[in-house]
Amino acid sequence: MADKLKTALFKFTCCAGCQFQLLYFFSPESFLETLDLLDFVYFRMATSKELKEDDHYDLAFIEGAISTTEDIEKVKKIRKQSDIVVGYGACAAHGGVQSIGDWTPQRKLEETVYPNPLQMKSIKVHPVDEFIRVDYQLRGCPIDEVEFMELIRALAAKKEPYLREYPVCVECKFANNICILLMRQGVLESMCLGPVTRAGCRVACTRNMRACFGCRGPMTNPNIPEMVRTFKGKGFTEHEIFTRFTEYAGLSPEFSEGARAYYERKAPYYERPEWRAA
Amino acid sequence: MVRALKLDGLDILIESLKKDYLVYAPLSRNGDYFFSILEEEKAYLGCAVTIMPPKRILQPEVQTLFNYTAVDGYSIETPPLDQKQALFGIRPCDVHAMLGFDRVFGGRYEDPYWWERRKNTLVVAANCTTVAEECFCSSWGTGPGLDANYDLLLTDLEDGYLLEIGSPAGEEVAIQLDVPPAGEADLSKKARLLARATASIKKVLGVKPTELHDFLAERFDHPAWQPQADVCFSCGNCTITCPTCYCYNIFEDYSPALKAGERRSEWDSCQLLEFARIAHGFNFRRTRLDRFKHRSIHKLSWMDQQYQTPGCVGCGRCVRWCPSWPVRRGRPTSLADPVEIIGDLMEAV
Repeated sequence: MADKLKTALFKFTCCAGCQFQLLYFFSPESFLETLDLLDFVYFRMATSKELKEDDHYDLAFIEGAISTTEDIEKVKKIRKQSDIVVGYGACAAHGGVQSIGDWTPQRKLEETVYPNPLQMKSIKVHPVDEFIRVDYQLRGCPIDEVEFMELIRALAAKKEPYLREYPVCVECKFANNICILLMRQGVLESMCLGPVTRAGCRVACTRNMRACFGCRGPMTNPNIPEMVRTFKGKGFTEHEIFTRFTEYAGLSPEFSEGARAYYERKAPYYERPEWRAA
Repeated sequence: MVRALKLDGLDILIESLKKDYLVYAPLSRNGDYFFSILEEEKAYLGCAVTIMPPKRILQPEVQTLFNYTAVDGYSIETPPLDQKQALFGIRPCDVHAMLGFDRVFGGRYEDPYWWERRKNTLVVAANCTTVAEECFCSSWGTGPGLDANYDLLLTDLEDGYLLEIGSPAGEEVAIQLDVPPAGEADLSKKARLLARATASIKKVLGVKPTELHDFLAERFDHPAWQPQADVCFSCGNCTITCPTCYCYNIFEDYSPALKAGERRSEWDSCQLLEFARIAHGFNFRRTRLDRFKHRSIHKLSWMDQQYQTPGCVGCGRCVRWCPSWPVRRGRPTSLADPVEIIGDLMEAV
């Protein structure tokens, strides 16, 4: 068997839940076997090892979104130091929950939160692959253990991982679930993004009769206008549709299309973000 | 030999089946129905198709093809497929779909997994005496009554059940039941109920099945395809829940140390973008239009040409589970509904 992969896990703007998830997974024994393939040289939550300057990594996980100019320099350095970079979790993939703020001018956010906004140096939240090339992306809030195992095994065996690209609907039907998008009416719980969201979560939400809120981001080539039309047909307001699309992956080009559908039809509830031309 | 029996209730039959078979039946959950192993719950025989077709028992969504270990050479182990099982309350449309699978997985390239399970499966079908609004089996001649290809066939006669025997395996089960044979009155009542069910089917395919090949071939470039494809999610619901869809993908689940593993098959769908992706990233059904058209024409025409079995049996699952409901001819219709797709194509250009 190949040598262990020298691995580091870096955290940027996020709740660190995905990192915690790695310690928390209770799954099959093969999960521990999978972790055995990794030699963590930097993983703040699990080890006390300090980060060494100019180290080289076989594998770097980047958790969280980029929200300061220093972060940009840091991720670029990580890219230079690493053979493989894996975006880790919804925040790294699409900005995550904090990306909701991107739809409001930065000045307004700073004025709301901080007493002296002129001292702030924060920028809009960005996914990691806005600045550096990301080789693989683990999605979801939090990440899925089976997908994590599949990726690590594949990297250790030097083959392509089989990460699902199809929508949540497929997995949902595999699980014999009732379609909440069709069967429930009028409650927010029926606002399911399943038909446009990437699968791989093993229907954690819909199996418990909760609508999919799109934490894993868009599938390949989703039909967003039809999703907007479906929600409207179910009687949801444009604002509700906007918040659904921007909850986790609003920065993805696909979901931002769903969010923009709101702007194009109505006087803005939020101001149009200046940085992203429509 | 007695060909038909009259049962007062189903319990006696289920108990008898359970002795020799693992019984699968439609069960109710959260107001909908799904095929699963019958244990303590009550089998539901009212007419409603299950969310997933019973093909999932013979060709599971994800099935293990074989396990392998690579310690001291190689060893390969196939999972046991000899479990005797009974499909209780399988609908005529689903039985016809299963016969379609027989053709696809039989013939030139046999699928050993399908046939191994199929041989050990007892078909306890149930005629439909009531129909759902999505049903259009009468257009295909696949329902609501079943004429052949069953081991046992149930019909709800309101005052009991008619049990018809269609094979030696079915007879073995029926012989154990201590019930009287059915009379002429029961058989004529069955015919009456089925005629009533047939008459109550409102959905009718606009074109006769025999004329569909020419109809669709002429309309391959019909402008009505595009607006339909535009509102399609390409989510795969119509094909995943289709009882005649047989495509699958094969992938590997292996131990991290590469010492052992499992090769699995997983259902695939032509509606998904990555389905037709080939080496070098080329995709020969890249647009949603291509995929929507492929599914529609394959179901309605090409499958019949290729395997001499209809690709649609009129069960109505795609109608039910399609998340897209555009307004056509003045009322909301399910996008995947074959009747409506043909209706769109019939409109003059």
